[in-house]
Amino acid sequence: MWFLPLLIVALVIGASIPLGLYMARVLDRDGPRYRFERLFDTGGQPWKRYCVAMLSFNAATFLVGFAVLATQPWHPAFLNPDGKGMLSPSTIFNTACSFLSNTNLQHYSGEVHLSYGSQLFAIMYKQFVTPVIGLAALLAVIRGLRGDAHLGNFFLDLWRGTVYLVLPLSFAVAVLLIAGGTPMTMEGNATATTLEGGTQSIARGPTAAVVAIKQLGTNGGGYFGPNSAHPFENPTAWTNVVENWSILVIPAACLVMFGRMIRNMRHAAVIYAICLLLLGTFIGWGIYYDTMRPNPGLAGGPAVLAPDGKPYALATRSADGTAGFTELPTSASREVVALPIDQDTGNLEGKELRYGPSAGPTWAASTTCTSNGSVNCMHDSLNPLAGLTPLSGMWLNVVFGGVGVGLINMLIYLIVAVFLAGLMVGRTPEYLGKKVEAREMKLAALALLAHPLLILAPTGLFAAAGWLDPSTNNPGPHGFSEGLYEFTSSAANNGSGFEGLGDSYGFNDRPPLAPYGAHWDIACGLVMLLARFIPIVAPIAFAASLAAKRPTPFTAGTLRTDTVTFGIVLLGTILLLGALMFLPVAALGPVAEHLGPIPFGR
Amino acid sequence: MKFLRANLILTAASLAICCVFYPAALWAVGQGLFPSNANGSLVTAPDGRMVGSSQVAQGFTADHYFWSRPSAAGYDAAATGGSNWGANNPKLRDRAARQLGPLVRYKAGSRSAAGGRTPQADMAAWFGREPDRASAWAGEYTVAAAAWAKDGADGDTPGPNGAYVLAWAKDHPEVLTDWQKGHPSADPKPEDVVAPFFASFAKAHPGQWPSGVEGNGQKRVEPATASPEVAGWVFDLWLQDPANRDKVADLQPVPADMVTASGAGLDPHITLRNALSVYQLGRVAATRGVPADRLAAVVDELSFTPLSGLTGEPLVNVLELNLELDRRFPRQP
Repeated sequence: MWFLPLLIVALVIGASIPLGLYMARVLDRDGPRYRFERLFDTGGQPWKRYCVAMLSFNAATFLVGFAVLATQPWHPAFLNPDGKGMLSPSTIFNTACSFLSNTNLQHYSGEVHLSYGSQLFAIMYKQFVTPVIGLAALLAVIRGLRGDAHLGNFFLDLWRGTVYLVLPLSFAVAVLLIAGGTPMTMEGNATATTLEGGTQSIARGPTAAVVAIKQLGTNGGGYFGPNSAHPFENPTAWTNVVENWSILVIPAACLVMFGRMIRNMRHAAVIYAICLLLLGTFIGWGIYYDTMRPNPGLAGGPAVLAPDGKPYALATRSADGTAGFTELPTSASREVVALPIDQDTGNLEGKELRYGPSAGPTWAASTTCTSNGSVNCMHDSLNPLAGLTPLSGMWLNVVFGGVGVGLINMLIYLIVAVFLAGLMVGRTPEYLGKKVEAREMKLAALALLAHPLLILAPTGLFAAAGWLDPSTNNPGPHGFSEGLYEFTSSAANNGSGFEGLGDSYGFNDRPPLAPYGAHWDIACGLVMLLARFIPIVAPIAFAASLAAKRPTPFTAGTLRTDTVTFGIVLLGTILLLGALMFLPVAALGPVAEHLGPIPFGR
Repeated sequence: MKFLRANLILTAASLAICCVFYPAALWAVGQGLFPSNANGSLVTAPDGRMVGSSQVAQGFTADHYFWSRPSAAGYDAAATGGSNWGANNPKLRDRAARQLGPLVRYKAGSRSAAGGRTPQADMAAWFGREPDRASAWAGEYTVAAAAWAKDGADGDTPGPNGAYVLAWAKDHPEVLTDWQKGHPSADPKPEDVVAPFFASFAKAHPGQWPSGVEGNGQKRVEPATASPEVAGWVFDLWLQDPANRDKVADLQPVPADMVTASGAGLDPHITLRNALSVYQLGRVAATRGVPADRLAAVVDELSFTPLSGLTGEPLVNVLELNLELDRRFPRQP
């Protein structure tokens, strides 16, 4: 049970170090190297020009994606063998935003709604360039922290990240996946006559190409609706290991690259160790509550009684304001006898058998600590407390995090930790030899506070406006968790979901599947865009502001950032801020469900 | 202007490399080196027809085949998905109970099994013993009762159960009284009035169940005593009755993968212990007329443990297993 997560983490650690050193070597070069690079090199850029270049390329990417999706019915036949029709406009908007922001939230189902052309030219194209955009932002931030004269050239960073990093890695992973059994074909659906004489239409396509970059680029947008729980996306236990490794390896390597670029490996090692500790905790929590516990919905449970031994009653208030109690039916309080099911392999609802029992929680932690968002089990069906593993991974959003942007988020927490430590000892806080002052703290606070605001405000809005309740697939607190998860996933640019939520509007020419599909499409689209670009632009400005300062000499009084003590301060800051922001909603959702009556409301 | 030029060059170059060269190279590798995998691991039967993909589960309901795990997608490999039901969702427990009720057995040699008694017979007898069990069931299992009323419905056209409820309501106005108070001008759907329906039904036909009967190619619903259908619906209620505690303790548990739906609804495997359990092996051996130990040997032969034996428990691929059965133990026509 513990072997699988240990194997995956060990493989990630082993590969991230050489990969990180390689990234520092090929990505951190000044100026163009050959003629083709000279074609688009526009010279070293100060922070504003770097941001403008980055945003302009994002705009171009958005247009490409939007145009491909919006012309789906007219794609040539070899790119649309199954004749997929027109998507609803709000779904196109949501999907274009979702893949632009590296979120890969999917309000459609790949095999139902998308043509091969859309999969390759809209979905996969953005899956290649958006992680590299995140990586470029990280390079710019690091150069600023290092005190470079300029932040580099965005176009060069983008080109090199694409062709020297994600492309070769994706090719290697995709070949492994095909060897494991993932399809790579341009033929349309296969129609089989089943053994019992029925017909089965089997969707396939250029799956391996999409799945490889989906995992490596912390993208997560599956080729098929159920993502990597689909046997074609993830056919065996070995491909599961390869894919889970792919989720973590580049974000982990970013930390090594960071250490090499600032020439302070010990500082990077402290951050790396904290990330490993948190990842291990989330994996362990998930396995403990999901793999080692039965599904409580199928199991039995003791009677639910108040401390005085009587059943709980419902407190009510009548129209004239007098308080009273309504007795609940006895079924709500009496002991529940378990169904005769052998559940010693843990909760198997929404799980595949072929990856091994602990694969689901391990993946759930990996995919949400990084901002990947692919799944190999249905998170909606995780046991109630195990559902906290993916949620808290996204609430913190710093444990390795997305390609590039994860470390940027971590730098925000670092600055806050340095600031707190500085206050405690009564000195002006410093980071990497530069003084951190009011302007930097304001930018850090902006980036930090955007995250909870973009989660809690829309969740509250949807709950209060009555849009959440009719969209849910589950009763009570779990239904609330579905909405909370959707916005958490959007704001963390993650893209996984408690997928029961009715957010699929789907095709334009069919009656709406979900009552508030368009509401979710638009709200999540906006959240994803804001959550992508605020935490990228603010830290670049912040790093540029530090770069312009004179270095302060290193003295005995300087707060060292490469020690265990600082590691503990950083960990404390992350946990404290995370808890302050999100414990109340955790109590309303997964914790209430765990305590709740199970089954709820019948 | 320089930005525009750089953007154009980079967009064109990255589109060409990532979206044309990369998939084309992979396509060549896949079709050249792993043609079967690359086309979806399609399987052909000895008679040459394509019967499915070894990676993709298909539905089996016949007694002479091993059955796949339940599928929330109805084994539709062109529109896949899981149930997405949380543990607190009554539908999850109801689905498992409905599946278990008709097939659950007593442990061989247990006291409850003495004299060839079955849980289904005991459930039917227990149901008939009190006049108003149907009413108690519909009052407590509201979600399951609504599912009963919707069973077989096609959009707004009610299924046989729903039609029976509406017809009943015409003759028994007390069914509609409560509902009409809240909705003065609308017509109820069957599931809206299923609780008062069962209350009224239990008064008129104590100890009976509105059972589906086939006749003239149509499904009708009639009150019946000791209907076998009861076991599927009231299994959980029977389980909860303290009077049945001894019998419940004698039930043979089923392996969890037999009653849980997988993430994509296409899990091609079941656990070896599911295949070898009395619920699968016993049934297949009896219908094929093959000794159970010979059948078990074939299942064992096809089983494997994931990650080259490093994780999890032994599994077996259902489609491959059933194909092998047809090959080795063909059924006499």
